[in-house]
Amino acid sequence: MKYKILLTLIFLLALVLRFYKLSEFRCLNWDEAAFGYNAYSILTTGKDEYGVTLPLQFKSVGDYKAPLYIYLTVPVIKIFGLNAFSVRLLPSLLGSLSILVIYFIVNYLTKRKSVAIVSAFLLAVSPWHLQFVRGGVDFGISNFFVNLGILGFLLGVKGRRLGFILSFLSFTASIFAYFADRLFSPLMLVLLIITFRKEILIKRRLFLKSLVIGLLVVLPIIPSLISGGHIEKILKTTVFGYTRPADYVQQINSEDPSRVLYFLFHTDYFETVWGIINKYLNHFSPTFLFTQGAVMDPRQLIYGMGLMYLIELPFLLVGLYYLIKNKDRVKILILGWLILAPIPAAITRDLVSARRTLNMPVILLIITSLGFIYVYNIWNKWDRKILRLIVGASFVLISVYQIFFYLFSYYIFTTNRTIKGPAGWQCGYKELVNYIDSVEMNYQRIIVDTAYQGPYIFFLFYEKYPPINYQSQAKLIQSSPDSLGEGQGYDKYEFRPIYWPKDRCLKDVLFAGTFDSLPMKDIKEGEAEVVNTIYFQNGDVAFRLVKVVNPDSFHCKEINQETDISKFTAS
Amino acid sequence: MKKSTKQPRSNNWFLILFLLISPWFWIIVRNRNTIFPFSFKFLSIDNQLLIEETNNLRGELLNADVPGNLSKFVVNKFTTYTFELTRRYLETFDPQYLFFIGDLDLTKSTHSTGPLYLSFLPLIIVGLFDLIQKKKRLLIFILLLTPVPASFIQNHYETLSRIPVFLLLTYVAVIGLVKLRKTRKILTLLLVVLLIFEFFRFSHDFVFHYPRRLANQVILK
Repeated sequence: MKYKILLTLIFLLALVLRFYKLSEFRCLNWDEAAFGYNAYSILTTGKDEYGVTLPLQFKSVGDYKAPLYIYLTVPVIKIFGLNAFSVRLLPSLLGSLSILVIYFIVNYLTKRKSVAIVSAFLLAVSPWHLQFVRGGVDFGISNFFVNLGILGFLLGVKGRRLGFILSFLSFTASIFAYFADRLFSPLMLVLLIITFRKEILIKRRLFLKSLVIGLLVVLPIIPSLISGGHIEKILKTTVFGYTRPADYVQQINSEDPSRVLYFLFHTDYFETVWGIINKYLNHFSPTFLFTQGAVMDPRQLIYGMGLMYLIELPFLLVGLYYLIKNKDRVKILILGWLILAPIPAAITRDLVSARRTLNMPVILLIITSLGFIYVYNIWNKWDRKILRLIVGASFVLISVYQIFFYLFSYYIFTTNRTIKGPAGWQCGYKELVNYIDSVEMNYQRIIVDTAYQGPYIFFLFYEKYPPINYQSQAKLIQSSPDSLGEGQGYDKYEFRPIYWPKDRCLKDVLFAGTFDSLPMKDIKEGEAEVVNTIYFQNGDVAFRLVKVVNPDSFHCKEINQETDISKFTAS
Repeated sequence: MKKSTKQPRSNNWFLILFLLISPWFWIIVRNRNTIFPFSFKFLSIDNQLLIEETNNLRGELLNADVPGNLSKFVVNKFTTYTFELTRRYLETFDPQYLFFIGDLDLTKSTHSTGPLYLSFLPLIIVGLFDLIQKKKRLLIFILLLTPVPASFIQNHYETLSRIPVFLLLTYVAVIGLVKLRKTRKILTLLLVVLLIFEFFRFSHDFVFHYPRRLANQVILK
């Protein structure tokens, strides 16, 4: 009974932390807008933004998104409409439910409710988990299904009839939900099978039936796994599509006295493998886990701390110590889970990735909980009451401090540092679309700069532009096969880089550009005027809206001549 | 009959060998004239950057209407300083630092490998397992204590202040090798082959590529 009340309280805490200011805090980024708009497109037309009927991979901005999250969001958008809350609802809700799932997993594995309740609490307040399930992200959804798959498997091993079916369907769902889990889920399944092979042999008929059902459900996605889009995605994100710069190879060759040495120490293959090992180990770095996090990516950043609380570190170490000493086979499952979790991130190009390793915090926190209970039991047996009190009070004080620091960092420090630009939270677009909507009838064309990435998807999203109208105009422009694309435009909207020396000759056009693309010094009085300025929360300029009043005829004549010459030369 | 707890003499030879082939040792020997005499810059609690950071963060909290006392509790000189010390302490155990990149300064690392070889890592893990099993807690305790001086150095990932850590980790790797040699012969052989390969790779880079990188850094400076 005591544990039930505690679990309910922890679940409520998880809900509060995951839903507090969910839609108004942090701007929608282009991935979220793309997920939302594609779900809206499916809802209204049964097709994605490019007019493909019920696809199993969504081309989107050229990153070929996994389908499950988009399809699950369709009914949410039907109920709540196309807005930030609808996009973020499911990851937050499933992220909260993960707390319950973890409780049952740990309870089954360790058969200790105390460890399970601590695991649930630690996951409820985990910065790593909160960072991602509070955003509209596919890996937030996928992570829930992976956990549910593990729980289902454990239930199946225990003899529950629907356990294995639940497990295989959940693992299949994770494959439909996120690319990294297309690697992790099968590996985890193999680990579970190895760990519980004896029980599986006893229940082999039920196991095989469930496996067949799982395989049947996964079948439809197999063609898309070998499609051009999926291969393009793999080449764009993983090390397998990376080629070393030619001048680097040339430099190495010129310094090596013999080709043999090059083949021994510098081949592409060797450096790729070496890089994978480096990236894999980076995910176990205390710097990554406790002090810095994925510092290179603003959307993964929690300023001034890592992805876990520093106070958890000693308990994590004690937990590992406890596991090593333990001879239970659960040890293999827990350590195996930990070893497998960073593999999908290790083969991508980023040095560390907190989102591709979202399966890591769960297992790290389970080990931490083991350590915590181990230490708690020792602490509880201390005879010296004063010492016990001092140690206990210090622990509580440090924990409270760290949770406060995290909340301030999440809501204030990090936000102030990550609102800008393509890598950040892409703020300013909502205000921009609202303003342009009110004045667009005054202009023949509206050109929006693409420096902050993805303006087209924000315009489609915030305008709730009818997908049926967009599908016929949809065109993605990619500067290189290796890069993500930009929607070219629709109706009177054009999305491209603004080049002011040339663009200042265009009349009846409204330009929306950044601080750099429309610098104040180049906007000359009498020739062009600033119609409006959109600001970030911190007061910096997000977008400047400029129209040309009276183009400089001499300059424009020169520009036109240059254009004619270059056209002639090209022809 | 009581078993001898003395380490076999071969351990000492392994330790000497491991130390002599370690990258950190060779870099320091090679660049000794540039590195020494070396004066450590210590990170003080009154460091200007730390004070600015504290003030900035507290300013942001005040702008967000967080009560003054609470903002003082969460962000103050002491907490910022403690965090910076902890950060430097934990950097010591960063695998990228230990096995892949090393010191940020090219005079103290080649940047193609860390101060230790990657093949030491499994040996260190086995060594630590062995120490835990044999309940030799003192050595683990000392290992956790040795990075403390490096925590007070201003530069991140500083190598000279971490030499005691390398010595101890190398010793743990030797313990791991001895343990592994008895139980997993093929794995030991594979690790020795990897170690030899890494040594040649390091030597090759040290002779043919590192001088150019070092010269580039000097030019940039």
